[in-house]
Amino acid sequence: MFEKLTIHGDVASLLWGYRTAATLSAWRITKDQQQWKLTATVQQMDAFQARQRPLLFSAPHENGRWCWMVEELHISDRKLTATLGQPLQ
Amino acid sequence: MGRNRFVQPDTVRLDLSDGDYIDIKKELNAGENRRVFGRLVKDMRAGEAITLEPEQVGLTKIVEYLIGWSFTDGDGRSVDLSEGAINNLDQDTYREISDAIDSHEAKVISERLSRKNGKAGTLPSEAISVSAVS
Repeated sequence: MFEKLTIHGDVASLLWGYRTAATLSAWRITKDQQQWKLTATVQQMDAFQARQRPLLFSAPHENGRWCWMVEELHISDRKLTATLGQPLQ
Repeated sequence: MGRNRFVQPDTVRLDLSDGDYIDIKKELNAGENRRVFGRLVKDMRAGEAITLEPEQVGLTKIVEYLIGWSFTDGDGRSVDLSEGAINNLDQDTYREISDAIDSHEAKVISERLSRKNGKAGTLPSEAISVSAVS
């Protein structure tokens, strides 16, 4: 496995169950050792839903979507930073 | 501590004929309920009967409740859920979906009333699954 890895994309979502808590753009995930860190720009957000747990980060790719559980989340002035769990798919 | 007054994003899978199924929201929240009503009304004036939009009757509820289905096209490829796809269903399937959602909704309302009246009432647990991915 890679010790360091960066994945990035244009469109992603934070999901609370089937609900979209936030739509994200310009997202970037870096894996350093075993830590997955996310940064993104918030395009739209439902403040109530973004406070709920569990939240899932979901980003489409060519053959489906990547998903991570969100462990810690910080949003300030449309800038999102998060610590993610291990990838789910 | 008071009860949780917010609708949780739980889903329910309802079996249809021929091995198909639909996934629906277990319960609509206040905003979704307003949208069901709001899209249905053509004209509303104080003191007068409400005029409904005939094309929207039944559809607005299906659109708000439905979050997934097992339907495929003629080549066996999954068909993404959309209002356009719903409008292209055959009439029997549309009616089957509408009836299934009405029946589910009636069950949830009955359950809620039972709880309010202090009677126990639960949905069968095997019919409920919590979905983390849309």
